[in-house]
Amino acid sequence: MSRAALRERMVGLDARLKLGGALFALLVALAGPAPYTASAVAVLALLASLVVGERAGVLLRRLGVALFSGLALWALHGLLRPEASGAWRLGLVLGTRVAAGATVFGLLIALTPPWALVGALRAWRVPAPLAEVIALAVRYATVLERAAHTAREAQILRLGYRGVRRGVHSLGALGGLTLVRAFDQAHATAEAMAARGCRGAHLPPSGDQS
Amino acid sequence: MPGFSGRGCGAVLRHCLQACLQSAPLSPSAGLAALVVLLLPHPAHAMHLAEGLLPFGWAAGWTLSVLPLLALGVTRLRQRMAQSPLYSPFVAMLAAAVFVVSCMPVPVPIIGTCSHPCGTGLAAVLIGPVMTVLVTFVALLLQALFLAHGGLTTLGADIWSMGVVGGFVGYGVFHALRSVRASLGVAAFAAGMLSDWATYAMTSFELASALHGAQPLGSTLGTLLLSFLPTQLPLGLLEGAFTAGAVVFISRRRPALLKFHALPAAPATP
Repeated sequence: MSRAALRERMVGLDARLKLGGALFALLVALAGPAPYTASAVAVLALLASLVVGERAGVLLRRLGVALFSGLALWALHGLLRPEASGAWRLGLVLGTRVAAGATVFGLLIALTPPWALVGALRAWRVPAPLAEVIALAVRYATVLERAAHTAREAQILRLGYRGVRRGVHSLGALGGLTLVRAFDQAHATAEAMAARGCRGAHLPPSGDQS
Repeated sequence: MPGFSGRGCGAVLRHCLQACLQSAPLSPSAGLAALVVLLLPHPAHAMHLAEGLLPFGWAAGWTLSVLPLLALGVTRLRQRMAQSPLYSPFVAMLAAAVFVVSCMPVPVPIIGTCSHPCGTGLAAVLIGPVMTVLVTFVALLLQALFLAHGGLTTLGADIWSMGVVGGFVGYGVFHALRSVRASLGVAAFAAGMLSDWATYAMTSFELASALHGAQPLGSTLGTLLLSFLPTQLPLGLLEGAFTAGAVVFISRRRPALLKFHALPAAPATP
């Protein structure tokens, strides 16, 4: 089976299964004997990522966070008590745990569309109002991100970030503008839904893969 | 931010390193490691604890302890939704806005690092602290699932630092200052700044309590606070300016939104 076909098959798997599996792997990495369990989980997730065709550069970037965390803890304990030994082991334990988290999480995100993950949460009996807020927030996050990006571009064109004072002022205006647009958009959405007879049920079907 | 001078922060960094060197005799390897860690250009996730950073017990503890607040938030959300079908889109939009705002890269003038505002101080001013916890949960969950920013096992700890501590501090400071007739901009600036610093202090405490090992908690916490200082000091000021600018902007364009948390229903369209 080719990598593309394998990846496609993995993407098509039930999101609940993948989310549950990822959560289980993360908990095993945290609860198991350190640093061996976390290392094993990280290596397995790394191999799986390579098998399904993840780019090596992306994987290395993820492991960079783990390396940084491990080094930071080593340095922290070295700074506090340089005479005591074991700082390197603490750094190793933390580094492997973060590596396990980063690789498992990266694999989950690479193989599962965001909509499917939201559907999986819904299927796991997340309270309906909360699931509704999550579903709506997902729909509008990208819209708002684009709106904020457009506003920022316009500010840059008007030299809004020229100088510290202007830059700070523009940043605040950008936040305010994004929020005002968010509220306007929310209002329009709610009214449109109400006009179509919707009374609070804005949820996607559970297990929605679209 | 283009044009922001890094000289002040460089001085703070040097000061911190000198303080570290004076407070503890530094071994050459630890010193080298500290230097490498400080100079490494890395993506700053200062407000989010990465997946795997907290041991199992601590991750479970923070998650379980935040559940009552989340349940309270869901109860309030349900009540407000019963009053107005417009409420949930507003909260969802605010969650999306916090998600977007906290994805905005703000270059922090220290060795090429880049960080971001939290937006929870601002959210607390707009919808109150309890709903801010819920909004933070949604924003962090989406960041974890979409961008691998933060994590699932560290979600509880991240909600504690950003949503609970950041939200309640921001809300308390804003209303305390407004009650003594401070101007809107000043109150919002203080709320944003102190909310950011409280978030980083809580994050430091979460890290120190989980990772101090055989070291005394206090010294680990002190070192973590000190090491966060060069990044978070300017970021807190930026967050304060961001919050003040946003609140003043909203007060001019949509003043009704500033009383949103007190309203039983969403404001009506004109």
